[in-house]
Amino acid sequence: MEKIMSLGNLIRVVIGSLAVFVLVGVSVPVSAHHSTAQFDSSRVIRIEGTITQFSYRNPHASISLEGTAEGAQDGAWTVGMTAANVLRNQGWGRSTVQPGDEVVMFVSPLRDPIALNDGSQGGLFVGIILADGSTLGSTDQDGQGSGEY
Amino acid sequence: MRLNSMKVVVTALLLMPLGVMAQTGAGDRPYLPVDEALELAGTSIPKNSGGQLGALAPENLNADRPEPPWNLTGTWFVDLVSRGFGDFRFGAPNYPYPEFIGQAAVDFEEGQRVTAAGGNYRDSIGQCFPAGVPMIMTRIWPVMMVQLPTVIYMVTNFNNRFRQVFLDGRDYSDPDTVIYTYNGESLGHWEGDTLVVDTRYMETWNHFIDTGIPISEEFSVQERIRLVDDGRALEIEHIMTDPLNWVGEWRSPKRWLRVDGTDIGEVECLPDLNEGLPGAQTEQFGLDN
Repeated sequence: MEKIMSLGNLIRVVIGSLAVFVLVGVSVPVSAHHSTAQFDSSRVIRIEGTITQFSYRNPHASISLEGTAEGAQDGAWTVGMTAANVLRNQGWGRSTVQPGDEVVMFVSPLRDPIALNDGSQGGLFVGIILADGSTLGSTDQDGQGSGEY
Repeated sequence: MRLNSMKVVVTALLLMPLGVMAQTGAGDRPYLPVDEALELAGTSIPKNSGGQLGALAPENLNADRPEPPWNLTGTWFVDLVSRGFGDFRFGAPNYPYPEFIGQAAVDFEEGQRVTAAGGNYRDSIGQCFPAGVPMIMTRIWPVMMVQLPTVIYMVTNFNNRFRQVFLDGRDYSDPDTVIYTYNGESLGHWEGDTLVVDTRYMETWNHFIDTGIPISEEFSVQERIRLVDDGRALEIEHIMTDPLNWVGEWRSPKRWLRVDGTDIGEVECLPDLNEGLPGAQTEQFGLDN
């Protein structure tokens, strides 16, 4: 006769699973500098393109790329990121991306899609599929804004 | 031949001082006695108001004073998980705002309206203005604190902002000559196991609390600090007053966690930073130019 999980064990499994969800849910989003109110965190745009610059620095890193954007303007994009300190903890390094790398990036766009100082479009980093196929951040296009970045 | 030889010798003698100067210069000049050098340096060395000894002067450090109840030397990180990320703010979502009056009341409402519409209201920090007290105390970056008998030095990882809390019993600077700064002038004293830090003289230009709430030159903060949990946490009660901007006290508690596995590093908010930050290039509502 197939062994049936005891009620006590079942309760322990359920509680354990809930604890995991709670821990994931309360993780501090990113290193705060200033508001992300200008970004539409309910939208995530997929940009397929080529890295033109990666600025790995504190208090904020950033990536520039040229590519085609689903549901947004093709061309040059400037993507703001959190601090290099935080990126490092998430698996990033100075050479994680390099100019010339072909990537797929996911960003939350500016609510008001202005052209930035250099003529590029602007977004807030959500996730990336690197040239080698590995991923960082959220790449399921369900990424959410953190409130601050 | 003899005349030519004499010309050579004379020329050499005349040029010899130049040769000596070329070899020695000021680099060979002996150092002046210390007191004489300090006197000559004069007003280029700033002096404390009223002749107050510096916090690091041996005479001040070694003065006879009671042992403090605790020492908070260490690296600390603000706790934004216990009560949620919103705890970095001093009002909503976690704590009530005071009754704002005057321009602060107008600015507060404007800030709520702009941010609800997705705008960027008075994001001075994003434009590399100092966060200032109290906001510097809730940036999500480690802070190093070093406590000596006369002073506590704090340096934040976030843009390497500097605070000093004097513990040596000095008075505030002369109000006529004080230089206002974003972190103000902080004096601390002990009340039992609580360190009470009173700060005033904070710069007001593009210096805000939460979403664009202004401060005046009358703004002051009291931080009541306790070291708890076997020295692993700091509990800080902020009590803020500004009779020109709100009624009574604005209270907001914060908690810091000791983090032994990190050191702070250098972080600069350089002029080109915002070229990589789209949010900082959008319209900046309400900032003073």
